[in-house]
Amino acid sequence: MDIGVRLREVRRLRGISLRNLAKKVGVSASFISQVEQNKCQPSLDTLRRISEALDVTTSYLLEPEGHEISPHKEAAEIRLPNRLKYLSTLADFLKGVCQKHGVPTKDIENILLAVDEASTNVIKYAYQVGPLNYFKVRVSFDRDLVQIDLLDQGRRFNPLENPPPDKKELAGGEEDLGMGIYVMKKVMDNIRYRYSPNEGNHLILIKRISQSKGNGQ
Amino acid sequence: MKIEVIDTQRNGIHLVRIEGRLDANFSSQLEDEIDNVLEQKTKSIILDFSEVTYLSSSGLRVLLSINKETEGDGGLVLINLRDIVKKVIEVAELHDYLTQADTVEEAMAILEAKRKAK
Repeated sequence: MDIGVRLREVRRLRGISLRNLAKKVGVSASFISQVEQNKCQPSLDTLRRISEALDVTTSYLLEPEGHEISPHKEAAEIRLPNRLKYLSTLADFLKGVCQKHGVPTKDIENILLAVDEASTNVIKYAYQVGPLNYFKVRVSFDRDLVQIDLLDQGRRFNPLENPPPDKKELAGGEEDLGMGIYVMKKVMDNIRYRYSPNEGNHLILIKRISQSKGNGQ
Repeated sequence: MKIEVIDTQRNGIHLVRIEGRLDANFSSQLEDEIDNVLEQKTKSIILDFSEVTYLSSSGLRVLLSINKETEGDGGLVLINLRDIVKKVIEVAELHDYLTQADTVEEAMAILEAKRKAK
């Protein structure tokens, strides 16, 4: 289990120094450093405190398969398996990145909802769950805009071409993917879709964040 | 994600406590669990949402499906919804389809009134 690499990635993404993380967790900086080099393993209790300090779930730190974060200045990316159980991992990741950029809570909630709906569609309709595969979610920030790119290699699937939801059918408990798309459109400011055989499906979600920049709490 | 089913011992009303994120991953599990409850003669369900931190359209679909299943001789009432969950129901414009209450007592009163109206 390569918890060290994951821990270092997340810590750097959050922009927290070894010393600051150590202080929050109540251990020495050298201990955190040794964990990051896989020279020692934290106790479960320490791991829980580390995950709290980094605002990720412990399973995110422990999970060996499936996601890589490659942080650069104004963008963060995660790669996830086409399995619904990773939707919560994605939510944790997005929340952390957006909070770090001072996105107000109300906007974070909307972003989380839209990306969750979009990712559910990728897994269920582009990949039709199917054999293990991956999709990428990239978040970038430019002034008051947050842009989320979803990239997958599943079958061509343009959510914007789907008809609006039929409430009667929905009220009858029928599956209607129009509802997820309807919700997504309502909470984002702009949605674009592109497809190319090389790149696959590429969905772009854009949200203009509210004027008052909160601390994300 | 956790689901706990409690028999309230009142007119076959069942209280179901759910905990976690009601997203596409969890909603099918909830649907199965409620199907089990509905196989008993109960058709009245109170869903306690106090520990539900997120709701997506997949969760909404399951709630509407339970609504449909129970509407004949019982009903579904949602209680203790957090703002974030209420907001999703409103964004989806489905608040008229889902009955909400603040407390278990209030939910029971709604379900018992429905029974009497039959």
